[in-house]
Amino acid sequence: MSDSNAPRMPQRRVLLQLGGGAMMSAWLMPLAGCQPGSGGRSATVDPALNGPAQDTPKAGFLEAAEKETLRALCDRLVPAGLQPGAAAAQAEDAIDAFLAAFQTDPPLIYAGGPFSDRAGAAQNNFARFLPLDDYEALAWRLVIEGSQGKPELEFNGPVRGLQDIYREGLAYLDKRANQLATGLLPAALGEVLREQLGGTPLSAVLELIDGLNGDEGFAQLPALLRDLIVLDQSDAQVQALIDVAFPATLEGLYGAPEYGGNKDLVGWTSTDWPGDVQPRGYTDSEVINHDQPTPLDALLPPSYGGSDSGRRKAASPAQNLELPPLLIVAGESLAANIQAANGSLSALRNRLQVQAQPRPEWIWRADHA
Amino acid sequence: MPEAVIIGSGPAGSIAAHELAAQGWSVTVLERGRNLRPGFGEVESGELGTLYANDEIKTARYFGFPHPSLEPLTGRTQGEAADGLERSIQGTHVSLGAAVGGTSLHYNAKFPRFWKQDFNQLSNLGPVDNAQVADWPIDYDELAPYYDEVERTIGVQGDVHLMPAKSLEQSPRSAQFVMPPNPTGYAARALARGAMNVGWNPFPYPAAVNSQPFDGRPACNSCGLCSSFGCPINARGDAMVSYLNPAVRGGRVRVIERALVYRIDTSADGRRATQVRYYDRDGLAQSISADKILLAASPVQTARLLLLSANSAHPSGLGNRSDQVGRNMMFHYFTIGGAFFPRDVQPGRAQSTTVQVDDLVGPFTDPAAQALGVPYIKGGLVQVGGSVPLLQEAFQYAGLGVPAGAPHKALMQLGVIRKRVAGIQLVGEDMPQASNRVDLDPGVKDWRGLPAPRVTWSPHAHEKASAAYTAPLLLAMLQATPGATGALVLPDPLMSDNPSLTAHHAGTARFGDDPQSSVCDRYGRLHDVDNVHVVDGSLFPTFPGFNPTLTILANSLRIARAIAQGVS
Repeated sequence: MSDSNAPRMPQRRVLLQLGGGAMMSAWLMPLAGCQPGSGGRSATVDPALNGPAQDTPKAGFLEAAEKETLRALCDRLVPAGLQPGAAAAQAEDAIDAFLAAFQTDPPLIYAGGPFSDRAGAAQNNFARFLPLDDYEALAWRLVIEGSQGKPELEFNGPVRGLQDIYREGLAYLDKRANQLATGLLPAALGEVLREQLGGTPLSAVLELIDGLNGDEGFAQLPALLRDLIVLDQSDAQVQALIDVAFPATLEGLYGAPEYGGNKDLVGWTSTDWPGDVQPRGYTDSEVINHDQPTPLDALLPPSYGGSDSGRRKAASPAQNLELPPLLIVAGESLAANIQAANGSLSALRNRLQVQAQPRPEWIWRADHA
Repeated sequence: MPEAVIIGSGPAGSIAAHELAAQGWSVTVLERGRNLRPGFGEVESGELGTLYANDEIKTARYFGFPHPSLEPLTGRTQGEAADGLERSIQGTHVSLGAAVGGTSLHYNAKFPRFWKQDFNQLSNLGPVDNAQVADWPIDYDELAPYYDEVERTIGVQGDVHLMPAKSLEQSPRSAQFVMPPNPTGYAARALARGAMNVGWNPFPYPAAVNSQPFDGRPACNSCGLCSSFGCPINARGDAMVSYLNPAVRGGRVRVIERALVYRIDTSADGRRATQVRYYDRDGLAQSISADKILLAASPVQTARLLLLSANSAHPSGLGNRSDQVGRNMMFHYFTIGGAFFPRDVQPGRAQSTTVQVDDLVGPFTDPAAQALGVPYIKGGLVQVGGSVPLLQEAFQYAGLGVPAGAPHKALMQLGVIRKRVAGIQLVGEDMPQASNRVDLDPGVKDWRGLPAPRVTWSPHAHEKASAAYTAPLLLAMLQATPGATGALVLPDPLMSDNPSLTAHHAGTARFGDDPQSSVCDRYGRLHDVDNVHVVDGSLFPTFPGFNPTLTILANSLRIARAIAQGVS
């Protein structure tokens, strides 16, 4: 903001532009001090934190038919439209790879760091998953495989693993598909059609059901019939699967592609998200200024710091979108709320439901002013 | 050579280890988490690697945190406790990080100082019904040199010339900050104008984030993923890079990872701790003894360990003659808010939260405050310019009840909260209450079979009043933000009796001069055990609305230096 800050800009540039040189090599190469047997005072510190210098393969847990069912489910949780959805992202691959996490070495739980090769780094550390220590391996085996009746794992009672939840839930989806052909429709069919499927007429559903042979699995159903099953809140077994599958589908679509989904980065390109931006980061000017300046910007106070080399040129015409009547915000506690939900949609909703009903006096809208 | 065992390697433990080692002590640090920084103890901090990245899935999978399956934490409200409910929450709840370096590996590194008025609140403002407001046994002036020293060592950005007069009067500084502020994000600039439009004085938020190369580490490049993420480029000062790694490299400090401490034994008369017992990474029971034992496990876990250490000389927990161990658990309350814009305001493209507002710190005693039924209201600082990354946005919509399918996808493509909301957050003061406490859960265990810590907590009437008093002021600020077409504030204490899920924890082993009403003396030493000192945020008798890490560091440094100089 002031002249006294001007000399900082070259220093910042040095970091950014020499990124491929000395700086980067220090980050990316395994450090000698981390190797087993290097001795020293840190002998109690775990060596070889980075694991093998090769990309971690992905395994699968589900049978081919189960995976088709899962894919057909993901496709309805985030459907295709003008932009690709979860099926295009192959979110089911990310879920299946997670269920099979312990079939690979290192287990497919934590992608490596600090950089992928998408923002200026020479190699992709994300692709090399991190070795787990005994604590982490035990914890994630418990989540994925369950306690399996082992007393030492049931210190707080039995734990049902995700592998079982998916396997049984997917089988149930196929069973529901079979039942549709026999005319077993969701209890709240009229409400689902009216409120969640944009007033789709009952006749459209009946026509599709008439066309069924009765041997279709969930994956063979047309999208509308799959929606009827997925949206049936009265079906506890379906919702028990979606409870874990919806959050996992979001990870598979919007998470880093090294976890197995977000194919061709469709989850990021479709949402205009830059993804991981390190080590490139942003220049001071990119931080301080808007990409598409407006006259209103002249009202804003200058930046407190950094070196502003001028506003960026408008990249495209300013968007002017109709906005939904929804105002929601989040603070630092959001990440903790997500962790507290432990992968469960219902737990997440229990955490956040209080925010979904703000009092009128906490809201302001310009069009009401 | 005198020896110390320190339990916990977060900010409080790391700075104490660094100081004691510098004064010639041999130090062992026991840490229940593991190391996530390749090269730790072997190379200079500027050359440390990191396993962190701009990777949202890692955060969702508790990277750097205890796992809720193995180390659950339970919770309930005061009302639920009165109804006889043992717990209503089990999982991560208010868990802090567990890794070498503690929660500071993925903290937001905001470094405000507490204010002068915070150290003698009882004397200044009088008692509050059903709250245990107390003066601190130290004052601002005693802590100020340690604030200075920590800021210089860890590297804090800010600009003394842009700080409001009231803030400087209440937290006077002997010098300019170590480095100038980082660039202010576009969205934060808009909000800062909103604050100015309602007569407030926004200023650059002090932060332990490099705005220029410092201590062999590079400048921040504003990627925006700060809180709950480790810094991928090593631009943030923390317990690890600023204290623990240099201390280990100095040769007199060792760190034992995955060491879960479960008991401190004492002599038969209870006056002296004889050894610390812990389970090592293989689950084997180990013990270690030392001249001094320092507790730096954070308020929940420090209280849990004191309670787990009950013996015949300390029947209700180590140092618990006052019955105050575990009590006065305090969490800052949050009011989050957002100004809503019809276009993308690039909120994520900046170091997280670069602007601070102090105009709601208080105390407020005007008629509007009095009408809310408490003798005074204290708020806290306002963090200006928060943002939400993509996957967190997706979870937020799902959690708010947006159905799977086209509705959820449409919001993601609009990026409503990720692109079009510029966020603020009030960090509100929480009154100490005897009934807000940590104890041992009667049923839930951790993976080693130890009772889980249980947190019983509800907001005090003060927090509800404070939230009600400040909410319309925050909303007005958002309304005054240029370009905003809508705004919303969400005051946690008025929505739920559960705590905000914040990493701002304090209380449970308050320090004071009176052994009848406090757990520790002014040097953090248990009144009843001569060689055990608490050095973390557990000591805070009150919890003013400022990010606590700087004060935790400064106070721990003060105590460690006193220990080294032979306080007895």
